[in-house]
Amino acid sequence: CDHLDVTPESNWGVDEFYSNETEAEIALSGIYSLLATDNVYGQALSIIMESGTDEGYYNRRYNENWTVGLYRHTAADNYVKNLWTNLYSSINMANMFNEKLKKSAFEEEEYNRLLAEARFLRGLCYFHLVNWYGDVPLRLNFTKDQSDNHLAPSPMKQVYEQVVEDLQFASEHLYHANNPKYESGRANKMAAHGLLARVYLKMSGNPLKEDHYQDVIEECEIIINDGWHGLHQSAGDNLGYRKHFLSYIENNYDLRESLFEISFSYLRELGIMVDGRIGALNGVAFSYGGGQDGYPASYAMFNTTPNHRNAYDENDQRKDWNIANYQYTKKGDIVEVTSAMAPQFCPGKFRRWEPMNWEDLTNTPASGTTEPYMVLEKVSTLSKSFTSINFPVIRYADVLLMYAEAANEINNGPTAKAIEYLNAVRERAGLGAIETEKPGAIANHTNFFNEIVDERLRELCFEGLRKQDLIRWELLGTKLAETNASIKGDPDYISTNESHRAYLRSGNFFDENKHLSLPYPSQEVAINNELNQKAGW
Amino acid sequence: QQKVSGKVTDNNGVPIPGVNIIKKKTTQGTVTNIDGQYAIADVKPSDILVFSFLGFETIEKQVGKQSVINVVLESSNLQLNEVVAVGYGTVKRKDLTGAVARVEAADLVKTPTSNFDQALAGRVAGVQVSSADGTPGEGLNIVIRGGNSITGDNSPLYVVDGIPLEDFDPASVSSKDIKSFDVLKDASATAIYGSRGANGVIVITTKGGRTDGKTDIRLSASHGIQFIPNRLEVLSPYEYVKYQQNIAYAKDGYVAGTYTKAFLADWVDPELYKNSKGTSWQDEIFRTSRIQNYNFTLSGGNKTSSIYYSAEYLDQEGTLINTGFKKILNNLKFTHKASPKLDFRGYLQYTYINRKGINISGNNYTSIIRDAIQFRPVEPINNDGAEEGGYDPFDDDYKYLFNPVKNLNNTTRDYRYDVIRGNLTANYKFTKDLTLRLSANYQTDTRKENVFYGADTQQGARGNDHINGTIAQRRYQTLSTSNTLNYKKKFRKTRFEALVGVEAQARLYDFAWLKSSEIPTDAFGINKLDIGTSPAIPKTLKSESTLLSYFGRVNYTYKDKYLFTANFRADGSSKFRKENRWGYFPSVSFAWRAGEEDFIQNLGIFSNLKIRTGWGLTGNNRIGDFDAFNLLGVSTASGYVWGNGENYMPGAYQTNLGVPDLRWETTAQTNLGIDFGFFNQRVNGGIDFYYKRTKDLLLNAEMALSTGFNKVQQNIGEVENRGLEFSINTVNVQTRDFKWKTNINISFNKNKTIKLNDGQDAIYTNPNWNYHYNEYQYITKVGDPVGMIYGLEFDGIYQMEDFNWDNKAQSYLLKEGYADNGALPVAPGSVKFVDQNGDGTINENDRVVIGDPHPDHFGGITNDFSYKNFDLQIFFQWSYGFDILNANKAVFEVPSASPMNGFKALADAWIPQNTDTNVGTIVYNSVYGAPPKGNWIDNRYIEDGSYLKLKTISLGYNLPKTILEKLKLKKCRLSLSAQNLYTWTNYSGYDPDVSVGRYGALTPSLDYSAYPQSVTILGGLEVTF
Repeated sequence: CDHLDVTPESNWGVDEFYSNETEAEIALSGIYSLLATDNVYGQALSIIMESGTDEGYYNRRYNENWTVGLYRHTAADNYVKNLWTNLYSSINMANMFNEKLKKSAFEEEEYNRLLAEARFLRGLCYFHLVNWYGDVPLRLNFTKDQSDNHLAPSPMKQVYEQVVEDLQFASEHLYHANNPKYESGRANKMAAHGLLARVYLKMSGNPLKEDHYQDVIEECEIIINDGWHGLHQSAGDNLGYRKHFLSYIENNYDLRESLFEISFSYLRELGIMVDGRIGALNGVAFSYGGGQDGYPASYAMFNTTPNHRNAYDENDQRKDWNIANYQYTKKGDIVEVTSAMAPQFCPGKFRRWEPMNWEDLTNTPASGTTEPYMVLEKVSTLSKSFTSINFPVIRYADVLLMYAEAANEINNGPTAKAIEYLNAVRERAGLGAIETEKPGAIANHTNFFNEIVDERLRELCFEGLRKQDLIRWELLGTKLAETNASIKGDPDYISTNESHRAYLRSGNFFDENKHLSLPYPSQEVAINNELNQKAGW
Repeated sequence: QQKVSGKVTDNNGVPIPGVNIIKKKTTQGTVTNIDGQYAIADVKPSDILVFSFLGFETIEKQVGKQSVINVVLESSNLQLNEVVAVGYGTVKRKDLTGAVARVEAADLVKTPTSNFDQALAGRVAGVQVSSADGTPGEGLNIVIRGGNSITGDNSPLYVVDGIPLEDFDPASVSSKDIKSFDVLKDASATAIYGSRGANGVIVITTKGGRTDGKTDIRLSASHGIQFIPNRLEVLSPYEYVKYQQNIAYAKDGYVAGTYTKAFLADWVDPELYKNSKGTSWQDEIFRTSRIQNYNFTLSGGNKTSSIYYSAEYLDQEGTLINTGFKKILNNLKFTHKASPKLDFRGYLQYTYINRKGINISGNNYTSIIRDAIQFRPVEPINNDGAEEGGYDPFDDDYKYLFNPVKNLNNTTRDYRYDVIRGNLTANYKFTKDLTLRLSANYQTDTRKENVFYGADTQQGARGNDHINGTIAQRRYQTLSTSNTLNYKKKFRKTRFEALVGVEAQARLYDFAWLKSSEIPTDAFGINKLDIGTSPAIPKTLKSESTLLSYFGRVNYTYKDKYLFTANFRADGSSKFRKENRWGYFPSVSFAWRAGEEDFIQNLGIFSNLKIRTGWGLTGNNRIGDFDAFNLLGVSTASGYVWGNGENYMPGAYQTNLGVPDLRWETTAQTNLGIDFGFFNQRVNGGIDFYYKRTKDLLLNAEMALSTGFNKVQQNIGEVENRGLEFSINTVNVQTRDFKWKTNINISFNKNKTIKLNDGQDAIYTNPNWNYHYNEYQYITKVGDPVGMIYGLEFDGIYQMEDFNWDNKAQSYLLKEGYADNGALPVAPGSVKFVDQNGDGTINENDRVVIGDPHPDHFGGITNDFSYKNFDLQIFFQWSYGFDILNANKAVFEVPSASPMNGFKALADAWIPQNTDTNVGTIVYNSVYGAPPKGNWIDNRYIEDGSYLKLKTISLGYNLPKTILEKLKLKKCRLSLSAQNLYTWTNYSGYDPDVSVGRYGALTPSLDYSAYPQSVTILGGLEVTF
């Protein structure tokens, strides 16, 4: 009966959508959007779940809000649940895109390019899932009804292979970043190759331990030999590293070095939520302004570690960029942060502000005045909690270091290329060649490996990579122990200070047998009859 | 002139004492004595004697030449002959086969409430009426015979003057216009409403015009006051200062140090505050408020046409400043007989409602009540730099606090409803037995919500948007037609009635939203949003659903003793996919009027005895209009930015997963009832037992998260309700001048979750009343009732002897076998919980059911007295044996190193000199006593909510006829009434009739920052010309 047929007018039906270019763009934007939420790159993957390594820890002693970073999560934990759910929501939308995109509406090349973009994102999601959770259900079709609840997890190997397949398809069909039709911020050809290298490197390490180092080399070589991408160099000074990161902060895509990044913008005054927390949760302490908007606030609840600071040479340009040695007080005074035990001992990589005059670090402003600061973030209104700072997913520097690491493994010691690429990263940071400055580091496989472990900390800290790196190297426990030792050994550490003792929590609660992957979310276990919780949870 | 005497008996020959006998059109008369004898003098043959007695038919006898007139009065069974509404018709109560209860319209009017639903609690067995809180004019939660749905709506369907109304707001009908109010409870009564009948049906019939050529003009006015009778007890100024001193001392490690010094610098000496009156922030935000109500009614007409018009104006100030409720009702009804066969009737109603004032509960960041509790009652002698109330606005932890008086005064919220209803009905009598009824109906309900935050509000001063205004408009439009054909036939011993009908309905909803922020000035309020410098993207939405129904009913009565009813309805709804679109709802019921059988009559005990039984299926289709369909949509949070300059691109996401087999929720209900009466119905009542089982629950059920969905609307699960209802009415005293009637009803309901999602044994719910308290506080577990309170079990406070002292680390270490409370470390004075799973620490695995929010029984007792022209009603209502989650305590009874005030218990916080307490320490050995986040709800915050309320007292005086005649009035009544006058309860919150949980049946009996209930005292005058 016609009376009972009612068509929705504020929504699309699944079968009517995906029929032209505009709809395809809207659909892809929706998949990206799920990756840019708080539950994925907005704060969880980029900051909170990344805490609890030798990079940094959660410093609020009176709560355990950053459960996963403190290794205090359970299967019912919201971070455990939300990361899983968001990644699978993106996968579901990518699957739907794959199945529903109307082939006849596009030229074949365009059709494949659109599919490639969805598969790039699906591959990235599955990569995170398998890294963080291990065996996971492999869903390649969109969810139709409640019978889809029940799907057994696939072995990790199978999931990694699917990730490889998706990224290979993406690498074949995506635009190169130098293509005039390419829009900055979207997936591109070399990003797919870069991620492939990362996937192969991970597959070669813990827990799969399959030897894919040659694949790593090949993928890295494609990018390096292509020659278009490179490190951001700053002629005449050593500020390349700083300038590259300013491009994330200022929302200028530095496409040569940044193969792929997650874009955030601040449009909340329009009611649009496309912002993240980068620089607010993990930024340079700024307490002035009474909780008001209009200031480049940062909560200073994420501290970096004494051993991270100690990993730098004095003249390493990255040290003062990655570890902020200044803060803005409630009273408007810019002061120096010297103690690693200060709650303001924060990452500086995604800084929202800098002092106008660096001398103010040691000056005290006259009563009633405040010291001037410079806002780096390019937004019309500064929000207290949300920022427009983009977050790097894969950079050229990482490609170089991945090559060096893989070559060292294949060759059982550094190759000339490996040393060359490591040096490229060092030199941009203002350091001399490794063979002259630290000849021991290239003496054998182990030394070079250890150098890579440290170099990746120095170069790639706070980019959401460290915990997974340590897990694949089987070093997470070791590094946490070293971190705790460095905290206890810090000259400012006071053993009766509850706050200082709280810095030890990640190291204390870490359990090698439990914490190398996350438990399955309780809700998944309860509903999915084909999936059982991991032992120990 | 002659004298007449005689005897009055009932039809069993039993004399009736106290029968009134008067000469018609005079006031002269007499009363029968104990033997039923009477004598009356000075009568003329032309006089007519009127014999009347409650419960009997009134008889008139012309005197003529008789000197002895013996009279047999027939039991009138007024109550049995009362006409009761059933779906699409009426029956006499004695012919009812289902469970239908009536609320007396007179009781609704006597009760001093602004909307009729506020007068319903405790009036009818099986109907549980509870408030969310005391927000003026807010609708109540009405649940008939226990909730069927878990995640769905459990409110009944309203049928007003024969029209089933979606989105019905009780404020839109005046209590004074209600002629009858019937509650259809069991499936045999509600199945005729099919897919919408499962939650019970409330049938309201409104008054119409006169048909006797006369005109009534009625004016009434009432004025009164409202006030909040109690306060939550907070620390007095002196106690507060002492408490702050304790905090400083505790922070110093119990040796006066820097904190103590800083304390003394500001406060000097606690003793100086001993006689300080300070500020009661609750008194600052509460007020005694005025309520006024005016009503005008015109009722007239003749045998062919009648008209009824009523208008009502109600203005109720809220007992919190700058809140209130206002309504204007207009109601025009008419009837017109075009010919003996054809008549028309119709109405046109316009209602304006304004619910004014900021939401007191339900905001999980800000709370007026919290601010009023936590603001310090006294300021220090030496300014400590804090804002008035004692907080540092620059400290992030206090960002959401704000002066509650300013917040209330400078936030404007108007939620305005314009409800227009129209109906036209035509009745055509083909023959005496066959009637056709056609009707068409229209309802538009436009709700416009304006919210404006001025400069001096939390949002204006410290929010992200500063001064800002939002306008949301929701428009609900329903078009429907309802058509029936009715056949009635009486044979010698049997009566037969059949009804067939068809109904169609289309319901449209649209929504529009706009907002402007960063407005430079609040001078214009909401009226000039265009000066805002930061407008938000506007939002719009449209939704629609349709319903098509066919139904029929057969009634068969044999010898007036055996009654049989069968109903059937088929509903087709656009909310479901084609394959599952139609639902079928049958019911059958049977009644036996045993009291009419000779062998029962011969017992001489019962004046009425009827046994009723019935079974039926009813449905529930209250889900979103498009929940059965896969939908993609965009929202302001689903887009992304890319390209140079980072251009915004809206993004699609799946807004709904429509499972293909989504269908009706079905409730099967069996009812067994008995109606009885004794002493010519002076004592009468009924007992009903019911059993309801709801299957294919429309549950917003959890999904395996790897599907990409958290919750999806599915038909999953089963719930059972069984219960017993008992009601009794008695006429205790009946004399010429004094009458005393009593009505008692009591209900018992047991609710049980039978089945949930496949493999799922419980639904855990975080009621989300405050963003900090992010933990499960309710559980719906298979085998248990829906919505039990869930949390940790308090196990006292850790004491010194529970620890070993670690001298090296200078800290306390728990002895072997002692569990920590989830925080590391714990120390003496920390709060301890029962480690249910024995794993040595406390987390969500240690939560258990700590409270049952379902009452063992609830009910009401009404006593009506009348003495001459005075009448008095005293009405008590109760609910017994249920728990409340008093979340206020979880916030205001936990000591912390903060300058904020709280409940009295804070003064009893653990210190080494005060260890016998249930209140944790502030801080000891630099360890804070409060448990860690996630472990904040325990059974210390569960309270027994049992209460008995003196709900209504209403005293009325009708001017005697003699005066009325002089004043040329038909009626004049003065009244004084009170509502919620006193509550007997052990509950420590404002009022135990509270439930502000935002997830309905999943989160009942939650009290946090509720708008307190008020006492109303109202005086009224009503005049009829």
